[in-house]
Amino acid sequence: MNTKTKKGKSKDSKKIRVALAGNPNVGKSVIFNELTGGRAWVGNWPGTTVEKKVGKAKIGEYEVEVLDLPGIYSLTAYSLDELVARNGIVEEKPDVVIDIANAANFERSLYLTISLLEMGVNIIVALNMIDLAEAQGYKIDAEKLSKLLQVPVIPTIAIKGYGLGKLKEAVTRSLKIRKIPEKIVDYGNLVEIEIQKIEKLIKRDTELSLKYPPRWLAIKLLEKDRDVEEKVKSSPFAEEILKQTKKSREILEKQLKKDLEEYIAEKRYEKALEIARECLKTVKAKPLTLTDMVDFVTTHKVSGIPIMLTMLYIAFKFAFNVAAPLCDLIDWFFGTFLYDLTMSSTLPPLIKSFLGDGIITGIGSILVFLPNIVFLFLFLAFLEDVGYMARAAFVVDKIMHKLGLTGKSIIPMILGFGCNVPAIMATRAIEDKNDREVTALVNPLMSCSARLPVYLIFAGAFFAAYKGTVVLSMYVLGLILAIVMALLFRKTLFRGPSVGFVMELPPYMMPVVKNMLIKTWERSKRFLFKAGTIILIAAILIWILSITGPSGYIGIEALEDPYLLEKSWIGALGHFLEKVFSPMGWDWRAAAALFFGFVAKEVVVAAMAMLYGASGEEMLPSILAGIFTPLTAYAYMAFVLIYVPCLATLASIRGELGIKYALLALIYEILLAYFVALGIVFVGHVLGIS
Amino acid sequence: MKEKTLLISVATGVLGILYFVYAGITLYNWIAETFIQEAGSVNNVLGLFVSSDPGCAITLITVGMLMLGSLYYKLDDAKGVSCIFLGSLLGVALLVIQLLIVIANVASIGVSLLSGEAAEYVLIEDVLRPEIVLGVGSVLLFSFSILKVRQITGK
Repeated sequence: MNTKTKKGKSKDSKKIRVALAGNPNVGKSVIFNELTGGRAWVGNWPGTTVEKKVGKAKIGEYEVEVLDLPGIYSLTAYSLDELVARNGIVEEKPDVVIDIANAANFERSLYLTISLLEMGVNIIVALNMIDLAEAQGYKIDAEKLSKLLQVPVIPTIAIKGYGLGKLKEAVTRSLKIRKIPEKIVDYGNLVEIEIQKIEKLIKRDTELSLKYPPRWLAIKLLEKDRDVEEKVKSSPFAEEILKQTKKSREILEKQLKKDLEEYIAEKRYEKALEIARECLKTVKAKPLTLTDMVDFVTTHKVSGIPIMLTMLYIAFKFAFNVAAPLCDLIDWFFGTFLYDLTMSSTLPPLIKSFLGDGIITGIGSILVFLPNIVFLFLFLAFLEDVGYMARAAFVVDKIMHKLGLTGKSIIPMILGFGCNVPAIMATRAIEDKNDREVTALVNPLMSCSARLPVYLIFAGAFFAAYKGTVVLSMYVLGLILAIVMALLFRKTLFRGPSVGFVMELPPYMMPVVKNMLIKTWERSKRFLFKAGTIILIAAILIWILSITGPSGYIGIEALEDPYLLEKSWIGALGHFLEKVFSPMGWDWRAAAALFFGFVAKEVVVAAMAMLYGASGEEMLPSILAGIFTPLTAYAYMAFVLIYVPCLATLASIRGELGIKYALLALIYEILLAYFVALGIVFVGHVLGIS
Repeated sequence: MKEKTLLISVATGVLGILYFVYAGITLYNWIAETFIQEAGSVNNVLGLFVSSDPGCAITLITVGMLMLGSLYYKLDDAKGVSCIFLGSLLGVALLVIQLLIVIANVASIGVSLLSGEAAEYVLIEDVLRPEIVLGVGSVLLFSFSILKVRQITGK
């Protein structure tokens, strides 16, 4: 292997850029957090990082900008995450790329390492999870690997912080002496001759060959890489280069008698295997691990689904019952202490009503659910970090696969339990356009945390004995509807074959408390932020619309007098919507509250609290118990689950798929919500349920 | 050693059946309360308070199924040990969650008193639940399953 040694760039400033690359679920985000002290999402399942993230770190004398790239297996341009990762390297030209290789899945990691070396980047290999490799019965000779690859190799156990100091030292060292192997894979004489022909033409364009390594461009052109073809098209020699590529491809495919792209990938795998064979040392026969034993049960066709439901049931019990005293405390603070303090103050009545009935009631009715949401996210973070969520995805994937849907949808769908906005962005990892669009369109049906306050109010009022189960049923209903709608879309608007999906199940691990807390905070803070911004504005708007009407200012008495409230703007809107919802038995205030849920689903509760004149969380369920029946309440919960995605989610669909699809999502979800709610009421009546 | 395994097998079988029985009663209660209002629910069986929560029934069935599954695969086989390990682990998790709920309910009483409201709470109904009583049995089986897992994995 030829090696090029360059003296490191002398920089006036000591600012450098380091990129983290690696397979999914290899520990990139852990290393990113360790280097930057940051809070990147860390999950023990693949697909956590969809976009590149940027953080700052200080390594030795250097100010480092760290790029956390999406997890990828290769550097093709088939999926958006691979493209994001590749462009993060090619376009942003990091000074060092830390390639985090999974020691427990060594050969596959080496494929990416080889692809990175072909790009001519200055890499350091962090051989992560060496403890797991040893537990599997083999050792990797890091020194030998370093010699074979001609780049530094640092064994690490990122989750324990092991080896990270040496990794940082290696970064500073590699800046001084950069080792970039010129040719890591020999594709055989036939192919090498054609690569050289294309390379020679590329080198004629100095600008292009300075920007991208010519050999890499030549190989990628032979692989029919569309993105690289586009890059080359800007060259004044584009015509000649592409003509030569076409000619070379024809010659090679004729002589090799196989698809050239496949041939090149095979050669890389051969090289990866060759290196792996030389560096791997089996120390003992692979014993049965705890992960193997647990997986036998958690992924079993009979026990997989019941275990998943049990895990979710425990999560909801933990979130709703265990967090209850904290909710009570917040409720007392807002609904009694702060409300009474405001109302008994000497402020003018209008200001008192604005603060008490508007802001305190509106915000308090939402913040009271903060402990539930924090506890739920904490438990889900625990399940993710232990490694269980990947199994849950695997179990659901089996069903989806039988229905002809792509398993890759399941990760964005489970992310949707937190918030639909990042979940829709996560669909970028799906290669097939149809699959990606369908997954994004059905994602709002996955019950995000914003719907929880609505469920909890109704579940507390009507199903207190099994609150957790009723809320769980909403999540299951959302998942079933998402699968049904995806199937319907695939059979009608988005026809075509579905791409297969191979999911890597990570080993079970003891979760790191710090990571769990970071993740819980990152998810919960969205809820807090919304309470302080969108929900606050919506609460003020609802208050104004409640004390004013078509005839002008009604007065704050409207908030206590149902007759006056009916004459307000909200009354007019509610009465209009009431006609639409009359088959479900919802009154005009419940209908009006739904209208405001379009801004954010939590606002439904804030609007109800104001419209029903409930200052405390405990008051609202008792008022609702006199207006709804368990059946109409359940239908209302289902409607809130399904109807219009919030503004942020719609904007996200628009951003990812365009305005046409955002409108499609809006319309189909309103119709679906209406008919599902109607269906629940109808079936309930038939079964004799009130 | 064989006698011990036999004893554990019997205990696992009995516990698995009890989980199933309580799951059945829980489901019956839910159906009675939701669909056939005139049918009375069964609140106390063998001194344990049974809920009408269908979600709870699913979890009890899951634990019972795994425990009986361990007998199907046999306890000296890795698959059988996997079943008893997971089953008893879930049984212990249900026990811990129920204990946390008891603590939370007591704390809620404290909050109610702080806000000057009258509060009533029957502790015994939350403590004498199948999740807790059967969960104690699961703790014993869990400790046994850990030993078996260590034997198999060599750790």
